[in-house]
Amino acid sequence: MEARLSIQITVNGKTVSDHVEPRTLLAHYLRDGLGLTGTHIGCDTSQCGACTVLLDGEPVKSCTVLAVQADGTQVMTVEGLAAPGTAHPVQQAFQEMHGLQCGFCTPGVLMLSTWLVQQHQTSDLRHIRESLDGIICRCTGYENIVKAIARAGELAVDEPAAPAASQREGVPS
Amino acid sequence: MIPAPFRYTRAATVDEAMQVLQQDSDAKVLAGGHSLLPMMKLRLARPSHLVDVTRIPELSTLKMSSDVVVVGAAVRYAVLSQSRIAEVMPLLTEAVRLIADPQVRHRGTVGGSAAHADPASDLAAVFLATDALFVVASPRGIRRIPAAEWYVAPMVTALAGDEMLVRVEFPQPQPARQTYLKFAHPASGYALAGVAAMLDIQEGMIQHVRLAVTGAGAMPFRARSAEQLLAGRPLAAVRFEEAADAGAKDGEYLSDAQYSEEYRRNLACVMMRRALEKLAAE
Ligand SMILES: Cc1cc2nc3c(=O)[nH]c(=O)nc-3n(C[C@H](O)[C@H](O)[C@H](O)COP(=O)(O)OP(=O)(O)OC[C@H]3O[C@@H](n4cnc5c(N)ncnc54)[C@H](O)[C@@H]3O)c2cc1C
Ligand code: FES
Ligand code: FES
Repeated sequence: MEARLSIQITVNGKTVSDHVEPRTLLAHYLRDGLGLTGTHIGCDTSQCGACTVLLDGEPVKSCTVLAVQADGTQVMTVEGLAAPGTAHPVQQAFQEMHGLQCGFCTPGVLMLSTWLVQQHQTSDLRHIRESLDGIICRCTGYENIVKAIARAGELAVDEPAAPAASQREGVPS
Repeated sequence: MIPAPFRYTRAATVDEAMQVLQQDSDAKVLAGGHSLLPMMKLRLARPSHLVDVTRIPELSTLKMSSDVVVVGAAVRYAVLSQSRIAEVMPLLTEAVRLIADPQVRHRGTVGGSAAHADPASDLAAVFLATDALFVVASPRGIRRIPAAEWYVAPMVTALAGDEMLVRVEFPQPQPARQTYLKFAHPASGYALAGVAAMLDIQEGMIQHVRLAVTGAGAMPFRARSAEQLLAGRPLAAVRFEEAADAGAKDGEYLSDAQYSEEYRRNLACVMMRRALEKLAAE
């Protein structure tokens, strides 16, 4: 085993310092190191997008990023979207439009959708479909996912800003 | 799946990265990791040491001038596709937007694509069509490798083990009409045929034709026979079908379980014809 390296990552608004093996994947670090099991590992071959998180605000497949590559960055997982018992506009839209069935792909879909909403890229359905290229959902047939993302865009316009990152839960202190 | 153990160094400068490559012949450069990490997870690659070059400021350069466009090796696709380079090289940004999906485009880099040298890499066609120059650093100094000499074999480039790619230079100006057309594999999304095409039309005459094909052939290639049939001819008198057919013959094709050699050559021909028709109609 190679020596562990120290990393500091801000996950869902809380800064964590840790030591990891260089080969530790970000997805594994979030799940096993921090107990944030919302991030799912579907294919483990960079195809399905279930492991998608936001890295410095951008969607990435965390099964294909090393934890050491995320040193010094801000990571947001599905746990960071809203405090327990409350729903982020994107989550609300997925509930309203039945944008999930088994829910396995959903954490990744929600993170990609959050990015699309933040980028104001939800008005064109064709663009939404294209943006889902890196997401594999075995259940829904995507129709309701597309509708939910469009709806999330509408809700986000009406809603006040999401709670400050520091107020979000989901990271063990 | 977890890669075999390795050491990790985040280089702050090109010199620091080169030092690691020199000290350890099994060391490899890590850029976006979107080709290297999947291979390491499958243990198809087992480097002893990864040198992360993505935080070397020099490798994130994006510069435009009247005679050259410079793209740092660690510039990510997503950054490039949003950049002003679209104004002078729409071909490059069009191609980048067709690579994989948003998540992959936020990690994958121009230099990683070049150095990985997948024969279906979208950028390979762009590099070849634009006569790009690969600027490479090693303890022996800097050298420039022309795109025509870069791709040596599938997954093999002209890069030596202790060399690293610093940036790609695209000479300017390029022909004004540019496009990249891709026929993607329905499952993998990689190009079954990707065509980079550029030309000028001056007073009804076709000039400066550049055509390159990725994905279809065993190696990406420049379709020079097509270029020669078209350059200097009146637009009204040329047959794109004929030129594309000749150009497709410049490639070497292999049959596999899914696609025959003839299918691949035909696809290269069809995509070249479509690209030419599109540019002529602009
Ligand atoms: C799901 C998926 C779909 C994809 N679809 C496409 C597609 O449609 N079209 C396409 O073109 N590509 C596609 N790719 C590949 C993607 O473009 C990769 O990002 C790219 O091939 C490698 O770039 P990277 O920055 O990730 O390099 P890395 O994976 O970090 O490195 C790749 C190789 O290049 C070497 N290297 C990297 N940078 C340098 C440097 N500066 N100097 C010397 N050597 C270097 C590394 O040592 C390694 O050998 C896909 C990848 C995935 C995971
Ligand atoms: S688990 Fe990461 S892409 Fe499928
Ligand atoms: S809801 Fe089941 S995989 Fe998407």
